[in-house]
Amino acid sequence: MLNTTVGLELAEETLSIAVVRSFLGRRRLLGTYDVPGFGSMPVEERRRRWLDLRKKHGIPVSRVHLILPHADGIARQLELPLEVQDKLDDVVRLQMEAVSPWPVEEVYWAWARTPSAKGAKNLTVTIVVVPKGRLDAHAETFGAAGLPLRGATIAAGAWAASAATLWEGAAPIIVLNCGPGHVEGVVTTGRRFFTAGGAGSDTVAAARSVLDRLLALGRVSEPDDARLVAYGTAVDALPEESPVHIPLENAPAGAWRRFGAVAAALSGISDCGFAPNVLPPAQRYRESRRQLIPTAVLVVLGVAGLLASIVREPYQSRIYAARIAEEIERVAPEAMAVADREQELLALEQRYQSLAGHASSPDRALESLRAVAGLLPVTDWLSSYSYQDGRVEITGLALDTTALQGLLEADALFGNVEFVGPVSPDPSGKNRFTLRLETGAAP
Amino acid sequence: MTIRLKPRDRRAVAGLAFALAAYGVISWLALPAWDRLQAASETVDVRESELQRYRRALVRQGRYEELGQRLETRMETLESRVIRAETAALASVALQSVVEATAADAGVTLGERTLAPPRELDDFYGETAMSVTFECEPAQLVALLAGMRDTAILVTVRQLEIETAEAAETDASKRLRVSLTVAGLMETT
Repeated sequence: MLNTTVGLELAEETLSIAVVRSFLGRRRLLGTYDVPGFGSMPVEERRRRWLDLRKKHGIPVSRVHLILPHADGIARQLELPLEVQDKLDDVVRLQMEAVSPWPVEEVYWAWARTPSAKGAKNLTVTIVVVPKGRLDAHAETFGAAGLPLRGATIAAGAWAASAATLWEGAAPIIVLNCGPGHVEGVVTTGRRFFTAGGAGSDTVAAARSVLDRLLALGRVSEPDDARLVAYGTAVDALPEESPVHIPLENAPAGAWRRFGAVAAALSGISDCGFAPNVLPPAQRYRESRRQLIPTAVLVVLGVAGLLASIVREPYQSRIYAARIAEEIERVAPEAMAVADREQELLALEQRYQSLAGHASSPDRALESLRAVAGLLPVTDWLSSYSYQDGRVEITGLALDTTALQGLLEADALFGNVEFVGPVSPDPSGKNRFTLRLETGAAP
Repeated sequence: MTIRLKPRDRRAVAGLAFALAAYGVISWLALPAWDRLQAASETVDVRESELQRYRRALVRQGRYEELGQRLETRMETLESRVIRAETAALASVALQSVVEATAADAGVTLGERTLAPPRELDDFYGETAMSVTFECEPAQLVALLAGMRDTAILVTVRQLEIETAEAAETDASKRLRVSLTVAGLMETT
C-alpha cells in the first residue's frame, strides 16, 4: 500500500531528513534535506526551522522514523533452532536479558525475525535494546520540534535493513558511517549482519580498521565483490572512490551522503527483520483517525449516490406500478361490471341475430303457389306441384310451353326457370312438361 | 489444544469472514431486493395496459342501457313466437296442436301425421317438424298456408307436394292431394 516515511538521523548537530514513498513495492525518494545545527538549537528554533522546511516541501509527519547512534543501544542477532519458534517470545526475552548491559526494567527492547529460507533448520532473530532514558530524550526532543516519532531503531540495524532492501542479493554490503573521530560500520551477508566500530583522529586508519574487522566478521572471502557504502561528515577524508548510487526512484547522485536518513526512512518499510522498532507502541505517533471521517463520509455518500442512481429508475417504476395497481383496484369493480354487461349484451345480440335469422328465413310456399296459379293460362293445367327450400317444380300440360316459361321467367318472384326433361306431346293436343323455378326474389 | 493465531492469520480470518458476510448480504439481501425492484418495474407496461382497458370500459359505461332495453324488447317480441317446452315431445305436441287448429280453421281435415325428431339449428334454437297429408280444395290449401303465417308460434313450410286428385281439366272444384311438412322454432335450452 501507500506509505510515505520520513527518516531522521542526527549526526554532529546536523539533522538529516529523507522522505521515501513506497507504493505497491515501488520506492521513490521524494527528497533529502539537512538542518545544520539542529542539535544545539533552542526548542522554538528547531520547531520553526522544521515547520518552514515542512511547509516548503510538503513533508508529511505521520510516519517519522529515527535511527539512534551506535552508542545509544545495542543490536544483536541470534541463531536459534527452528524447534523453539512456538515459544519464541520466551526464548528471545531470556536472550535479551542475557545480552542487555542494562537492567530489563530500564530498557526498551524489541525483536524481529528474519524470514527463514525454505528448509532452514535455524531461524534468525534481531534484538534491539535501548535505555529508556536515551530514547525518551530523543522522542521528547523531536516531538517538541514537531516531529513526533513513529519508530526508532539502532543505526546498524537500519543500515543493514536498507542495504538488504536496496541491493537484494547474496553479495556482502558494507556500510561505513565516518564521523569526526569515530567510524561505525555494518556488513550484511544474506540473513545476518555484523557491526563494528572504531575511534581515532585518523579517519582513514579507523575506517580501514573497521573495514578489516567487518570483512573478518562477515567472513567475506572476496572483498572486491563486496559493495561499500561510506557516508558521514568525515567521509571526504577517505580516498576517492566512485560514488554509490542509491537505487531508489528519483534519487539524486549525491543521495548516498544522507544514507543514514534514507536508512531510517527505509527501516519503517523494510520487512527483512534487521531493524525492529524499539519505540513502545503506546508512544508511537499516530494521526487521529477522526481526520478520516470526512473522507469516509464522502465515500459513503458517493457510494450511496451511485447506488441511488442505479436503483432510482426501478424504484420509481415500482412506486408507479404500485399506484397503477391501486388505481386498478379502485376502478376494476366498476369496469368489470361494465365488461360483464357488455358480455351479456353481446350474448343477447348473438341470440337475437340467430332468432331474427330464423324468423326471417324465406318461406315462399304460399307466394309461389299464388304466383303460379295466377300466371298459368286457362288453357294449361298442372298435375303436380312441389315446393322445397325455395325451389318449385311443376308438371302439367300446356299449349305453349315456351310461352309459359316466358311468363314465369318474367315474374319478379321467379328466376332460373328451366325445363326438366323433354317436352313431349300429349294425345290431348297439348305438351307435357316439367319446369323447375327458383324463388330467389322478394315476393 | 489452544490455537494461537498470528496477526497475519487473524487478518486472513477477518478477511474471510468479511467476504462471507459480503457474499451473504449480496446473495440474500441485495440481489433479491434488486430482482424484486426489477420485476416490479417490468410489470408497469402490463399494468398500464390493464388500466387503460378498464378506463376505456368506464368511458363506455351507460352507452348500452338504451341499446340493451331495445334489444330485450325485440327479443321478447320474437321469442313469444318460439315454442318453449320442457321436452322435445312437448314441443312436437305444441306444433301439432297449432297445425291442427289452423287446419280446422281452414276447413281441412288432416290425414296421416308424422312427427320428426327435433334438430338443433344453432346454440340457441332448434326446430321440430311435422309432416301431414290431406286432401282439400285449392282455396282451402291457400287458407291453410296463410293461416300458418299468423299462428302463435313461428311455423315454416319446409316441403309442399301437391297432386291433383281428379284429372278433370275443366273442373274448378277439383281436389288436391297434399303432403305438407312444417317446422316450428323452439328453444333448445
